[in-house]
Amino acid sequence: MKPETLDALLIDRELGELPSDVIELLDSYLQLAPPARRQAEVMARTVGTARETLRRFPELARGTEVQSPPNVTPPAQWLAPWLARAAVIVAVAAVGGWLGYRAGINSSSVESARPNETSGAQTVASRQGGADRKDLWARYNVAFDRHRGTFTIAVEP
Amino acid sequence: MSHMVQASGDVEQLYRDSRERLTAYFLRRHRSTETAEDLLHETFLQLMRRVDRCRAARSPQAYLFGIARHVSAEAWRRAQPHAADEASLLSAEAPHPDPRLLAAREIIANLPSLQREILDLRFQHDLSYAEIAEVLGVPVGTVRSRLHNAMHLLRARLETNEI
Repeated sequence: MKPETLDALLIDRELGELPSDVIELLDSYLQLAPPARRQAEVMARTVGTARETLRRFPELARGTEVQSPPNVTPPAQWLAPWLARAAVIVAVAAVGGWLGYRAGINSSSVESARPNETSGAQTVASRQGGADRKDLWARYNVAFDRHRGTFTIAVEP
Repeated sequence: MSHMVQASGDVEQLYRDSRERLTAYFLRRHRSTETAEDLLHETFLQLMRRVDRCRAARSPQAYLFGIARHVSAEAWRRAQPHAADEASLLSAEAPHPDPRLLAAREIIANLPSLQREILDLRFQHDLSYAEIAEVLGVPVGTVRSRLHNAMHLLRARLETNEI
């Protein structure tokens, strides 16, 4: 007999869905085949465990989401917003640093080339006099260039 | 008139035959004797509105469980926040040291809700494959395959890890 056929018969028998004549034939077969008998014992134990588990944990029967067992650590969802904020700050710092570096190179080269031309850059966000150093804008300047229509972020020294 | 008398007698008989099983069914789901009794009566109230359909059903018990299932689901929807709190408290209160049962619990908890319901109706309420199929409105083959699938899964996980 194929293992999967035997499995199906064993489960149906354990669940009381096998006709009595088929049970007799199955028992005769099991007596002749020790490996199949072991397979039957394992299946009987599994069905018994399922029955006992459902009896002991009635919440499994409910239509709602089942609670995780106590030994399973829930995902640390509280970390998510802080990680997102930290990622944004790091990204802004990196982009700002690079743009500031580029702006420094460009302005020095433009100033040296055309010293009399008035710059169109206007600072739109920068550290205020008594601003807290921990504040994001305490460390960066954002300037809008009217001629180019672009923003430049510069890192405060 | 005689038709009504017969219908009333059928319902009374069904009530006597099914009262305990249905109360146990509601108790498992709602954990309150008072709620279980309310829902039992709600079930029979609904049954009385469609006695003819119950008579035509292959298994009146299964038909009754089908109504009970809807009544239970409706009660859960009405009282979900409170009931959910109660359920989590109950789970946290009772320690279950048997690792095999804990492992089985986790496996069953991760099964789809329909499959869990099939397991519950079979193991705790002793309904046959055909009755479960009627309660849930699914083919008998689906009931059988879900049960077999669950047993294979349990055996594979429990025996592989030798729990």
